[in-house]
Amino acid sequence: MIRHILKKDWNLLWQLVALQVAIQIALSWDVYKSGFFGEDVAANALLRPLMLAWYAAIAAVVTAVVHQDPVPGVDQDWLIRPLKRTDLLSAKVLFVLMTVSAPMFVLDLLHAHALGFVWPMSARHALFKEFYVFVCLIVPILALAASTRNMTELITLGATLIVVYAVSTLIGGLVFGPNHCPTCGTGVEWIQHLLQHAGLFAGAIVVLTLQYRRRLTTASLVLLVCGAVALVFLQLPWKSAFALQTRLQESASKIPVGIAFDAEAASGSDKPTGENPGGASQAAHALLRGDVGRAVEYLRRRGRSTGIPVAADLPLRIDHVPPGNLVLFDRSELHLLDPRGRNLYSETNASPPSWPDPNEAGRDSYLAHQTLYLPAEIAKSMDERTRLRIDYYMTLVAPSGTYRVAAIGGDMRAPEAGVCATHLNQSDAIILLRCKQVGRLPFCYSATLYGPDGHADVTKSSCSPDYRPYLPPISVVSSLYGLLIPIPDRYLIAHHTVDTSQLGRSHLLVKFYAARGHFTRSVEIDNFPLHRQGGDQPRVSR
Amino acid sequence: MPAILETHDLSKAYGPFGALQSLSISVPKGSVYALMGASGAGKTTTIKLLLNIVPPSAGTASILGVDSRDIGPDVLSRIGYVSENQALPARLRVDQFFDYLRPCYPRWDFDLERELRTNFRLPPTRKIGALSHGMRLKLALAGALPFRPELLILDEPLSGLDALARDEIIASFIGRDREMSILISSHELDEVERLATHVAFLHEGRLLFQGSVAELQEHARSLQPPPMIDAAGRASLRSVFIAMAKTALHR
Repeated sequence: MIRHILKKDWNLLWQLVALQVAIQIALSWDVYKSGFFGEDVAANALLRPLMLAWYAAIAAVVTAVVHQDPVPGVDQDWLIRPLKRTDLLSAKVLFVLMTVSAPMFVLDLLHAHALGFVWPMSARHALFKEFYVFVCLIVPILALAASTRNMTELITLGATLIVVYAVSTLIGGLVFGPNHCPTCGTGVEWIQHLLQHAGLFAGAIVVLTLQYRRRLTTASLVLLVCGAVALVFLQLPWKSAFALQTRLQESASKIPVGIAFDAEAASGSDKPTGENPGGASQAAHALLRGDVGRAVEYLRRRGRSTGIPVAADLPLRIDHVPPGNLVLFDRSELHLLDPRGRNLYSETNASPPSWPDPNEAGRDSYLAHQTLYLPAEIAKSMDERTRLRIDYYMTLVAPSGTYRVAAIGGDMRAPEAGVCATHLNQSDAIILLRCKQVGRLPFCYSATLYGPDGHADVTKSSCSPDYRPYLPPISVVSSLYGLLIPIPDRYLIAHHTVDTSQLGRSHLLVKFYAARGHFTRSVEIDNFPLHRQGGDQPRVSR
Repeated sequence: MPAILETHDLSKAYGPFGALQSLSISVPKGSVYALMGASGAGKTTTIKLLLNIVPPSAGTASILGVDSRDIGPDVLSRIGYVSENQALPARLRVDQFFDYLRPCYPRWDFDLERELRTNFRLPPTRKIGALSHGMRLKLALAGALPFRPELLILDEPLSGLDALARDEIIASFIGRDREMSILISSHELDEVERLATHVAFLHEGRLLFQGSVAELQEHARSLQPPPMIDAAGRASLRSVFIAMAKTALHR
């Protein structure tokens, strides 16, 4: 029977399928045409609308095929036909696989191969991407469609779920503050995402089972709403996420890195910041960026702060760093304790030190600075007996590959990087290094410009910790990333040995880093009055 | 006569509203069983319960010897169903609809299909959504008969039809296979009277009467106020139903 249902649905929907495939082709072509540097202006302009059309077309096909034989309701023709419900569901799934996933696979395969990736690698990544799209996008849409009778109901349900999700996020942010999403914005966020996707898939399977086996639409709708709330509130605790991540890498006990408060480097100054790191305007800006969690955090800070916060510089000595390696700070948890060990104040992610200049790599020991913002009333109430403890969650990254590429018009292929190209932009002020990768993206990389005489010039780097194994992007098989290298450095930070006339004979040395291991360290500082900061020896624990 | 369909204390409530209350009926094999009542009496609910389209709140039903809650493709392949509200796949063409139905039923008779399509003058290339209400009902009927169902369930099949279309549809039942049992729900009392061998009256979810047409005539004599009697000494379905409904309302 599956074949007959498929044939019937094809007769009804082939025009929509053709349109959807055309949009897939257009998007794939557009992504390819837009190149590495946005050379094709029209292709770039079309990218966003095509991306939206791509999502809409897939949702339309998946929804339409389910709604040919809707599950809710009492008047559908299929209810009185001798059809097995499993056949009906199988036919719908097969239809989507044949008309959405299969063309997507072929296009992604061709796209990756056209970029220069070998067939087996292209096929492997395209197949995984299609599997991921099926699990995270298509099956949930199938579940939504199976719970509704027509497109109007589906849009209403979708809008309701979005509102439920948004309200839950807002409530979660107000009630739990930054702990509302402990892994958000960190390198281990992928674990939370993976769990959410697994939950989404499992929930969708339960809804499909409820609908196609029992036609329990009310129960399915309740489950969908509960699922939207659970997506917000079921968050992986930070410690569990980091512990899980740690188990995936090199044993933490083998990492020799130490961290200590550097009393000699302490400036001893503490001063009002002049700015409130939590305020209505910052919250508004965060909201405009769509970052609800951060907006809520700003508002919370504003709510509990009665004065301008006091900023304190905390110099940290990082030592025993293996040669060429770098240390990333994933999270810091600050606690102010009274003499009896009672917690006076806690703050999560209190401005952890940023990732170090790659030029620091190779040094065994270097200095990093953390700026602490303490609420005025807390700062005022502190005395000599107040202790400060900061727990650090850190990652050691090691170089995974170094590659040389011509500064202008160069191209480079590397397993970590994908396919890269360099280009001098029209104003001749910036070298663009752009890479397209299928598969896992590097999260830390740097590029150093070398002149014709071999002298190093400016170094630029990017590091956005993301320790995920490979999870593909949804809409296209390849991802674009890269660096901008200003010539000359407009901030005059670098000492310039290369001028633009020499760029044709210059090259970039591109260095990629990969996570080697994750570890935790704690720094404890006794007697931490702000005005005497640096006057006492810190106690360091490893 | 053995029953092809039975219900025992079958009930359905939608919230506080009892759409059907303790219905117990028995449809003899080979009969034309008319389930009659005004709009909202519970006729369509009964049929949805029998076909397991909605679950009962209480009671049981069996159809072709199988509990209605366990109906599967085997049983459904022996039941024809036509309803005025049946949502046929509107974007399919008439010929595509038959192409789709044929493989569903192992006993599909292609010659009968052709005969029905010709008799009902169904345009093969017209989309179902573009057919008139009457043509859609004919199409549903033409799709419900070629597999020679043991039980044909008709839910208001004459509703909204013109006289010619009604006549055509009724004619198609009159020359039916005697092995086929028919359950017809309708509030078109005069039309159904030509077909029915057995009758059940529903009023506000309750069964007022069930039995053969002869038993109905017998029962009619005991009604107060008595129904109108024609020249042949028979009470029409309409007059009996009105008399019963009035009695029920008085109670």
